[in-house]
Amino acid sequence: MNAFEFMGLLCWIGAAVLVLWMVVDFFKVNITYDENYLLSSLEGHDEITEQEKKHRREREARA
Amino acid sequence: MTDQNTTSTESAPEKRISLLTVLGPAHVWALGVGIVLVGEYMGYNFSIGKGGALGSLISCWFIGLLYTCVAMVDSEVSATVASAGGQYSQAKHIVGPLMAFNVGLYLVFAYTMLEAADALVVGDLMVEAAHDFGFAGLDPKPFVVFTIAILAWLNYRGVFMTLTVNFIITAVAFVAIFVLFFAAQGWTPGVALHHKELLTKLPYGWLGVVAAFQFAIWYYLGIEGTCQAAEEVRSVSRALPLGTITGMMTLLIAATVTWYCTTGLVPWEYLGVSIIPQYDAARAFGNPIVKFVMFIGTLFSSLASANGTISDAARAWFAMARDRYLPVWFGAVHPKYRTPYRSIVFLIPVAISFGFTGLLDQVITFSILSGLLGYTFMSINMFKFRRQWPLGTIRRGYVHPFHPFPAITLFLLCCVTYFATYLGYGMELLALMTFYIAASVWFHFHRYKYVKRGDQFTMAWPRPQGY
Repeated sequence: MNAFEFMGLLCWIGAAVLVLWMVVDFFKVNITYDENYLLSSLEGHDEITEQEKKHRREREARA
Repeated sequence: MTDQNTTSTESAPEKRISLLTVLGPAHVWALGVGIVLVGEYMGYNFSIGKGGALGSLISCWFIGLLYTCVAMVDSEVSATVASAGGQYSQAKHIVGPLMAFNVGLYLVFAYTMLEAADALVVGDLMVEAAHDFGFAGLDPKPFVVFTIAILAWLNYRGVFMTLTVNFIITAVAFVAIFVLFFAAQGWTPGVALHHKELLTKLPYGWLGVVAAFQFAIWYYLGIEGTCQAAEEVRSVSRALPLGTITGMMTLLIAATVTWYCTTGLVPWEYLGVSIIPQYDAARAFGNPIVKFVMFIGTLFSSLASANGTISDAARAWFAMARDRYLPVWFGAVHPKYRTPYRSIVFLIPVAISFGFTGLLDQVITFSILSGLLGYTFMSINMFKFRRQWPLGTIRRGYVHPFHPFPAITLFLLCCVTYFATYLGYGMELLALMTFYIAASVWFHFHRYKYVKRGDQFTMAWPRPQGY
């Protein structure tokens, strides 16, 4: 086995580990969290604007 | 037309999850240029095979004009329709569901096939490197699979790190193009670059130049992918136009310098069939450091492209699922990493299966054709967008100048490129069109009944003019 074939073997092992990691995390998330929550994202949902509004309200409340 | 202000907010749960809004203009640049820059390292040279060196340069600039129009049109619409899914979401809001479904498929196929082509190049590059070290017959498959796996993992873990990595490797690949230029003293013709001896007249005449249009697309294919990040950028109206248009300027420079260096080093007959032309140009130049830099440039550009295409294909698939154009299950967001994780994982085996075919030019052709169908849509979309919501009726982050000339130019250049594709890959063109027609029939008669028609229009826009 030359150096390049050894690198190829490492690539197979590395790819298997990474895919396995993703698959385990994938099922863990699917089991742990409520499906409605995972599917609750909205198109064009502007998180920053919401946070800014929230902070503004908090500042106004403190004032 | 369905009321555009209708949303599902009232019936939805209070606690929501969304994609993470963390990207800036540099990430947008990295996404767009990262996807494309591999075209400066391989693929573009098939246009030299079709039309000769000068024919490739002419087609490079005409196609550059096509993509400049794409960047202008896309920047205006994406900065207004700030949503994952990019052109799919634009089509949904501006044209209609069937167009949106088709555009979504164009995007997924263009990016997934491009991803497979990138991974194939990584494999081919390793085979060439092994050959240079005296080890012939290396199997490229483990390198192809590892490339897709590690980049999918990166995408799974979060968009910020994904595109920060893309920024770094894209910048290195861009600088590598200039290393060849400076090493070959590109400003002094005759020292290392022999255009006088190597440049010939148009070998196949002007028809060859037209035929070269098909592969000249490779110089810029994917820059429109920037708008897939619309839902994740901090300031859509600033970051998207800035990232896309600076990206296009970067590519015009990179494409011209690439052509100039490689055609001065390698005869067009050989360059036109090479799998890794930059690396071959470095071999012809003979300097081992430059050869190593070109190896790194080719490797990094392929990785950057595959990385960006995984991101874009997954977002297009995710956006379609969220609107129930595809099973809604794919529309989930990872609660920790805030990425479309189900779409990312689902598309891994699809990309690997394309990659295992080993048919680089066929995969590239299907990717180009899907992209081209998307550009044709963009020109029509722009007319409808300006007619239904004229300037002043909705807030636009960017207004492109000289409308309607960019949209008309785009449409005409798309028609020329279809003809060019027909000349070289007529059967593939027909096969792809048949596939999209069959998919449209399936969507119309089967899938559309699952789409919640009111929920998909989320932009707080006034009713379009004429409705």
